[in-house]
Amino acid sequence: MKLSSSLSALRRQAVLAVGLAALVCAASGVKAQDAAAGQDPAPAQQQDPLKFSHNGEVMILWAIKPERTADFESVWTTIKGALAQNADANLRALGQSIKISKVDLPAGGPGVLYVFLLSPASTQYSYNPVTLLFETLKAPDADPAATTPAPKPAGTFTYDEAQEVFKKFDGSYNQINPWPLKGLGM
Amino acid sequence: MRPPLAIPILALLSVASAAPAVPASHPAGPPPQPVVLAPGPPAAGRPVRQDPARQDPVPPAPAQPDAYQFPSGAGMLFFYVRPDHAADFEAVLARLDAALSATTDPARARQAVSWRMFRSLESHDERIYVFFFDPAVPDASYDPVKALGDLLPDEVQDLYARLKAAIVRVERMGLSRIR
Repeated sequence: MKLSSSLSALRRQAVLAVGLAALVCAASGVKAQDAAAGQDPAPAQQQDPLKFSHNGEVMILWAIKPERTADFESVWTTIKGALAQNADANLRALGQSIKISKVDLPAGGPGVLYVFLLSPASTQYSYNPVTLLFETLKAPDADPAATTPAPKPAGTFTYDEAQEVFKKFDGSYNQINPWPLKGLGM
Repeated sequence: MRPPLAIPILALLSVASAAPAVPASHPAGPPPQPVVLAPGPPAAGRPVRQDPARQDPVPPAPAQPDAYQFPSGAGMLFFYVRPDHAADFEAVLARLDAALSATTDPARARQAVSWRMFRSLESHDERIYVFFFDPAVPDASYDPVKALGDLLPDEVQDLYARLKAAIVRVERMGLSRIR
């Protein structure tokens, strides 16, 4: 992998990770007030808002720009397809934990609503699509000593492939709200 | 009676994260209107007004679609519950859960397979419970009071009274499965 590409990808991930965190934190009036009052000092490092430590289910509500719904659905179709094909059983289980539905309401307010039910939510992996594309499902780097390149493992992305998918995701959402749940019976 | 309340479904987003429903940077637009429900009384408990002097035939009211059905094949119900009634609400859900699990009614048994109940772990003024139906039986009603009436007819009046005391409002979301 070219160094410039690596740096570019890292910057992109950092920016988006902060962007996602800011989106979720900015969406929380309570947290914003606490921070302003100095009661909840900002952590030194932004946490990934789509990586969960909670054992159980999580619902994520995504508000997507109406003109970008096809892109958003395409991104998750691609990611779920890769997870299903991956050789790692834990990643296949991660893919199976994601149920994606679209709310049957006309677009309005923050956008078209999608509901992800993560059941059970993984505590090992992030559901941040950028982390999934550029880290979790990253294809192994080619061996520079190899005379013939090894075939890319199924269910992984090269940097260029991940970048193509990322372009569809980038800027497609208005709001993301993760919502931890506890199952009752059934 | 199920009086509609003018509460946008995007209040859900606000409740979920204490967030403004519409980000300041987003152009203002009309929010989608939710179907806001209130639990109806069991059939046996519904008052029937009768006027013996009235002889004119009264045309039947047009059939109202059951807002607790999910013809799209999946859906959710959100119950906003008074915190001081949360334990009682969960006790009623436990009775519903047990009755659905034990039912020999084929239609209710089909519903039970994918009828999932959750409690939100977020802290708010009201406790929020989520029913998730995926897949939903398209022509079946997921009205919990109707289900209790079918499954536990001897208990339904008491259970309905407890639900009514606990629930502030109910919202529905029809869903279309993407992946």
